[in-house]
Amino acid sequence: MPDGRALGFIPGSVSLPHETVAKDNAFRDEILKALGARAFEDVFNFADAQNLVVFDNGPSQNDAGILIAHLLEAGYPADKIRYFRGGMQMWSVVGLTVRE
Amino acid sequence: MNDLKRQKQKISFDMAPGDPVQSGLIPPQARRVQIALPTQPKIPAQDFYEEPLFDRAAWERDLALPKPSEPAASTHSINVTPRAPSFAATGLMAMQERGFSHRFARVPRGVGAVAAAFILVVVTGTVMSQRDNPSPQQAAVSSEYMPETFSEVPTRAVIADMTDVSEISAPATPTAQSRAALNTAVPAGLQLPSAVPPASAKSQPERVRDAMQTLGGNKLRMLRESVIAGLFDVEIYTREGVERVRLRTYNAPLANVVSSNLLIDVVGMGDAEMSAALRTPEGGADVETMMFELVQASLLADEDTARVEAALDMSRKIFAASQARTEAIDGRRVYTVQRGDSLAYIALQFYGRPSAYPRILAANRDILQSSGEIQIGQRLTIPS
Repeated sequence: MPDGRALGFIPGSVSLPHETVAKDNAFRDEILKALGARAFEDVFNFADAQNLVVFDNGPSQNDAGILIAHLLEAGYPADKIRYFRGGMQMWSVVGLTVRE
Repeated sequence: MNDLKRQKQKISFDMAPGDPVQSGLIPPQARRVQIALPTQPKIPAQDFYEEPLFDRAAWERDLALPKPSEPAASTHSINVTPRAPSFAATGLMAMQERGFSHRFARVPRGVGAVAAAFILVVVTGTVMSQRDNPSPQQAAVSSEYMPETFSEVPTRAVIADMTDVSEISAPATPTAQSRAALNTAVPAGLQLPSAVPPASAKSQPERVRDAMQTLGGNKLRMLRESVIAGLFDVEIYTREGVERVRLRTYNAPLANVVSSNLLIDVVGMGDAEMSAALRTPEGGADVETMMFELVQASLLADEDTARVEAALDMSRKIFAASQARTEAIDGRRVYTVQRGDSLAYIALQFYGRPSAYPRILAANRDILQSSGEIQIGQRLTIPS
């Protein structure tokens, strides 16, 4: 488990290091499929892809931004991605549930 | 000291003679910090308003008086509050009095009538001249696509764009190669594998061959050339509320109604013989997918790698643009059949090839007949 995640995370969320969806990662296609994309040879169809809310530690970090950039590069439709910029910092500051 | 502070409260920004800054009540070094706003700003009324300020006493006096008689027609004044300046008494209503309507109240009616007549003449002239000389764009649009001419068979929009032959410059007789490729590859793709031979689909190869010979092999060749040159694109369109994808070639912008109709006729004649994978739930033929398969299969049969690659490009484009959505039920991907679907079209969207439909057929043996007829609303498992 990544360091930041070990400190606590939003219940129900899934850890997805941004390196795993980088263009040169061999497992990127599998991850995209796990997110609901359909694959044919080297093209993807995202009609079934899940709606994502992406967050990271918070304003002090840009991991979520990088992850989103990788997803968009892979063709993930922008209207299926939401960016919670506050991240864990804002989440915990307002007292919402954190799982550790 | 206290005195000085009290003075500061009264400081305002204007330069009236009573200004403590002007009059030297405040020492010069204190001027920089004079940001305190006066509690009661002095507004020099005469600078902003032309009319005298509201005289409440006079207004109350006037209220007690009997209402004045009808105002003169030419001035058109709405005297809500007698003698009061309108802005002070009624806010926005005052604008009405000095604004648009007031000015126009003085315009004689004759002038208005003349102006209206002039505008009418100008507009009519413009419309007439446009009717006489339709712009090239309008002309192009009107002749581009005439779906009503081949809508007799209830199928989804014919892939008319793929079937255009209007600009063909190729020789009328197809090359032996393309015909051979067509004959071998096309029907084979959409026939069930021999393990599940549908009794009725036997004569379809002949039917399709007949159809293509009627159409002329050069039409297919032209489509092939478009695809090889990459001169095609995916078009997303809506038919009967269902979003669909189809290929559209650039060099064949006009719908070829004739060839589409011919194909439909041939298929229609041999209704029982047509591969059920190309049958829509409404009973029509899925001509678009049929044409897709015809062109792609004839390209794939080629040994030229560029052509095979072009054929795969057709699939890639359709696959990436497909709008078909599934639900996850008990770990299965479930697709609900919509109007205009055919088994081959569903296979094209999920597997990139119309000929991949036996996969769906095999996974849905319990609800589908072996021939592959589908119903609207049927929920098909799509194996991944």
